[in-house]
Amino acid sequence: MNLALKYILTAFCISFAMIVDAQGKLTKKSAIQHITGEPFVHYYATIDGVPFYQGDWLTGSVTMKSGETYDGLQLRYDAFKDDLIYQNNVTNNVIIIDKNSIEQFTLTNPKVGKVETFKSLEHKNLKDLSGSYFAIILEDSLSVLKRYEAKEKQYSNVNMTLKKTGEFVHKTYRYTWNGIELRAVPRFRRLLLRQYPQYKEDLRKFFFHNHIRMKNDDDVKLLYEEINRLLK
Amino acid sequence: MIIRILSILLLLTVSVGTSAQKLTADTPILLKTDRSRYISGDDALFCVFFYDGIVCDTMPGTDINIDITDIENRWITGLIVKQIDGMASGMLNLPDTLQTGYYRMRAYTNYPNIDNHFCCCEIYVTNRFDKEPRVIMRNQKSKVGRQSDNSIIVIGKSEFAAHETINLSINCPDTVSALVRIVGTRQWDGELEPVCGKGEPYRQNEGFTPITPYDGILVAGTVTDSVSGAPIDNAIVLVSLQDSIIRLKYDITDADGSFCVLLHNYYGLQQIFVSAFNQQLEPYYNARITLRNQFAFEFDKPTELIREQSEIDSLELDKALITKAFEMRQFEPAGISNRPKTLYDHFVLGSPRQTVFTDDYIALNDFREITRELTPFVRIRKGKNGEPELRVVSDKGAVSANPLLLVDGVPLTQLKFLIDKGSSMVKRVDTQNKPRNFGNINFNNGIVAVWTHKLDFWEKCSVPGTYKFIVQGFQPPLSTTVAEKSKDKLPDLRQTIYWNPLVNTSVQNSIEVTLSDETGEFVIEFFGFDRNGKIVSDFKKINVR
Repeated sequence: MNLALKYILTAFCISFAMIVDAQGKLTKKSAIQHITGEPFVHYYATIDGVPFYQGDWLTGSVTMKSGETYDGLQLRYDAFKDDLIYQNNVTNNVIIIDKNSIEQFTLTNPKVGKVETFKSLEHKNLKDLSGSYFAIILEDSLSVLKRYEAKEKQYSNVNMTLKKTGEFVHKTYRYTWNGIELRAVPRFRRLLLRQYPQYKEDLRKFFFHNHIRMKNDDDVKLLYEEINRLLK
Repeated sequence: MIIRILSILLLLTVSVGTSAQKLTADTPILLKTDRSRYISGDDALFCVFFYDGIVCDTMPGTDINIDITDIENRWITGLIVKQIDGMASGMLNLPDTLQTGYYRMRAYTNYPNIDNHFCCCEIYVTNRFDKEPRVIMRNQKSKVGRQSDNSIIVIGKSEFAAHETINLSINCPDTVSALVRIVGTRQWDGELEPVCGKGEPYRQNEGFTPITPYDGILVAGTVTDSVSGAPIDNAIVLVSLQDSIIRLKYDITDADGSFCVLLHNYYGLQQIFVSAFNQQLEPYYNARITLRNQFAFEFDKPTELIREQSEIDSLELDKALITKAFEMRQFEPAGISNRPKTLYDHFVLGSPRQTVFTDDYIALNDFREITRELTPFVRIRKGKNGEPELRVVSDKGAVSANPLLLVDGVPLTQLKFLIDKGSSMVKRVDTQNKPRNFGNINFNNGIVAVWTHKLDFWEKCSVPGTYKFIVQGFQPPLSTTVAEKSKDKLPDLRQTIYWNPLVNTSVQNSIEVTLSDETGEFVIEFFGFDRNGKIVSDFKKINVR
């Protein structure tokens, strides 16, 4: 390499490092976190499989109701108990975070690199689902939510050696929520068209032009963005 | 080509670094007040300018401490304001109890690792109830001339009627930030030149690294051994407030014993309680906790002093009395943008296993009886050293000693201070008999939270190891406006006719001001800095008939 080029590159690196150092002096030491919860003790030893969303620890962030946001946390969403579990790498504790302290949390799906945001909804009309976590597909006057659930499917014959009583079965449900009523998202186009007879033609054209598939989250999001537009 | 690009990048980087250094290290400050004479109980308006050859933009960490001391440097009151675009402004209430005399209003910075800047001006405060004003001392320095060669303030005439609207034209397009005010000539003549400088007097906080920018109160300090003076490393410092809900924050001390807690969204004056524990959550009884509070240090700037007899201005007193009687503030905050809607709390306790209200039961004489009769999950037993010890029983019957005990939201390190308190004082007992996690600390032995009827436990009780501090947050941003003339035909006796510390003349070149009921001679002052950091000032005298 040219000598002058080497010299300039070195000088550039030194001066850049000096600026970074000067900035560092004015920032506080690493922010301390105030996540509250209870120790996680349930390991579901008698059930086959894992009840966690995507099975493994995922990187995510938690925004507390107090306004603080903590990023880069190791999180697991327990779809069986509807709990958010956090691994504290400083204390090596695994904690179930208090549900009523969380404003929202995000999980990064490593398979598709997609970030999903979860929120806990509370409303008397939600009945048993009040206070449960929902993944937010679309947030609008008519929101689209997704719920992950893990249920135990009991074995007809219990394996006495392994002492397993059943296995976890994962299911997902999509809902629309207008702040009053929670309705399941129709699985087929024709069922959706029946829900909005006044916009039947508009929606039919929208289906045709955008190749909407009701099983795809992105398509459902696009579709309900259009429905929100029509309803306004 | 590559060399050329890299050279440009290098020059750019070096120039950015140099200017950043210059801004933080060499930018002095200048304090201006709206008047020189006040009545005790008045609001003193102030603004602080930064200048140093270049008027700075937004400089990180430049919070300004404003306070008032008496002439013997006894601290009276103060607050912290944020610097925005090279200027900080706000309002400081002068306590009603101030005796007649001269006081110092001080503005100073509190930077980490660099020289601190200060500016100090003297104000005269009259207390209407002082019958025999004491002899006071004042700093004698005449005011330097401020009239510009070029006329900056342009007004068509010099005689006006009361309530007339003046249209001020400002002919200074280069000024970045400026103050425009209209005050009585008497106030103007009584002003003294402020004393400004930088250096050692405020260098009390080395190693202190604040968050920038931050919204709230930063509580930073050190934990040392009260006997040996050695810093205590790895201690858990709990910072709490006495309240009906638990507001708890914590930090773990560094090797030098320092800790730093941000009370996010808190502002104004707050009384806090600080106590230190080891990793097993046993209290350090010998810990000494000191805060690097912004107002906790001495200021002593030697000045030439002479003796002078104080005076009472009856006209000023009458105006102040009428203003107070009709509850007319001269200047109101025109909107506080970042005032928090709610102060947050953390869910440290979780869902308590049991909550007991003592009023639901017969009166019990002491806390031992309360635990025996009402709270099956809490027991009091004699500890190893003969002192009473609190224990918590889990659902499965396991007993844990020394849970975290909170009284009115503040950790209590010694049970003996609570044990004699019965139903007449204790209102509620919450018991959490499961382990709880709070950030990086674990309350494995559960939590017992006790609330008193009047939330006054800590006012009556002083517990060794629990330190009480009063800390201050930033004054919320204020934008002062001239009060509109009352529709109810109440007298308009503004002592400062107009005060606007945020005039940007490159955008705004005229100001409309409506005069008050008051007649007499007034001064219109313009004071600011141009882009080269040079003071630009001008004044015009007007008569109101």
